[in-house]
Amino acid sequence: MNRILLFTVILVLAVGGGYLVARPFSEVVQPIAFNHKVHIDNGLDCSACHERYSQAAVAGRPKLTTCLFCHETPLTESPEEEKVRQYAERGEEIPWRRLTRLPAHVYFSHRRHVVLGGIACQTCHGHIGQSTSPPSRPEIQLKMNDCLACHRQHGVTTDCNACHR
Amino acid sequence: MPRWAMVIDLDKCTGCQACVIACKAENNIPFVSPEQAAMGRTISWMEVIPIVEGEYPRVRVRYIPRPCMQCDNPPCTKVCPVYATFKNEEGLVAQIYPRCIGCRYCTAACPYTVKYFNWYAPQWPEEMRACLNPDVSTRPKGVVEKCTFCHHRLQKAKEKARAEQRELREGDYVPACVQSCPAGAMFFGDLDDPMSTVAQLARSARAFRLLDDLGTEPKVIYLIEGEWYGPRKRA
Ligand code: SF4
Ligand code: SF4
Repeated sequence: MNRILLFTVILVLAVGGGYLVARPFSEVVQPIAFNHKVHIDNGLDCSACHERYSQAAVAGRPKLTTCLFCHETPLTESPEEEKVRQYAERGEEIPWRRLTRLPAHVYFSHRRHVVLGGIACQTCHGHIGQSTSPPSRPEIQLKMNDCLACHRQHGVTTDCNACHR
Repeated sequence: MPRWAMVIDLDKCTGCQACVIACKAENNIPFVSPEQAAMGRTISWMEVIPIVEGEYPRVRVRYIPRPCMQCDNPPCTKVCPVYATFKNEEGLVAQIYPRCIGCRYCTAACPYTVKYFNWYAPQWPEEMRACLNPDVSTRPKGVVEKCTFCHHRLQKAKEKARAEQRELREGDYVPACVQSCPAGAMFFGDLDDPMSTVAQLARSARAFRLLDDLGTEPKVIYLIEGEWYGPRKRA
């Protein structure tokens, strides 16, 4: 009896521990239950909030001032919208969490891909624009093979040195 | 397609080590403790090698800044079993850390001893973490690293030129060591462009390459007046 119990405990620990170690991404919890769809439906482009995509490597998460541009006074009765102004009152930035992450040894530039290469945001970011609440992990988990497949398809460099650093 | 090369004028080099420090800061080179250093585990992509000539009181010191030679015929890449180090079409000898299995064949094969193994996970004092260069990844334990001619700068320079709808110009892409040299002893550019500074200097009578007779065809070219009488190869 005791042995079975011991065995069960070990099994649970092993599987649980294995899950903790092996899970690909930790769940991303955003400070505000942001609704992408509502913003897109109201005619905003991705670039309205992710402003730096055309100038820099990162597209950027919006600054509080960008949100306040529209949300200085309430547009809805949503308590989530209210949080924006609460951050403003406290004089804090909204600590948006990054959803899509690439390893540090990869150089990826939004300017290069979106502006110079004409690649749509959806190619890598999927249907995030249609989400009504913040996803806890990216819809598309990019692998190097995805990058290479696209690079081959477009006939651009597949030199390791072009992206690895 | 350019073929990137460096020219180092030994008559101008004062041995100040600015290039060494610039390289360490630019490329997030990890520290090693004195104990590790004593075991020969120091990492220094750029090294200024002193050569003392003559005897007291008639002593003369020469300095040779020594990065990776970015050989056109590199012995190191031929032995890599996993294509973690290879020569790309622009002549840069790449080192792809996530691919490296740490066998150190290349370290043994390089006649210039410029490949360094990471014996430990890199460590920096807390205050220095914020100073790490975000354009260069830190290497994990168990992989080999070496001078890359700061190719992360080329990645950005190419993108900038593309955005400005022009070709890459001389001076767009320069490694940190060349940029930092206060004596102006280092030059960088495209060896295949006959009008570039490096191509012109490479044609000078003062030009020589280290251990040239090994057939490695280095793309680091040294300049010195008169006969080169530095470290000779064994006869
Ligand atoms: S140490 Fe790394 S780069 Fe060098 S030969 Fe082995 S796998 Fe290739
Ligand atoms: S100097 Fe050494 S590491 Fe650099 S390319 Fe030549 S053989 Fe390879």
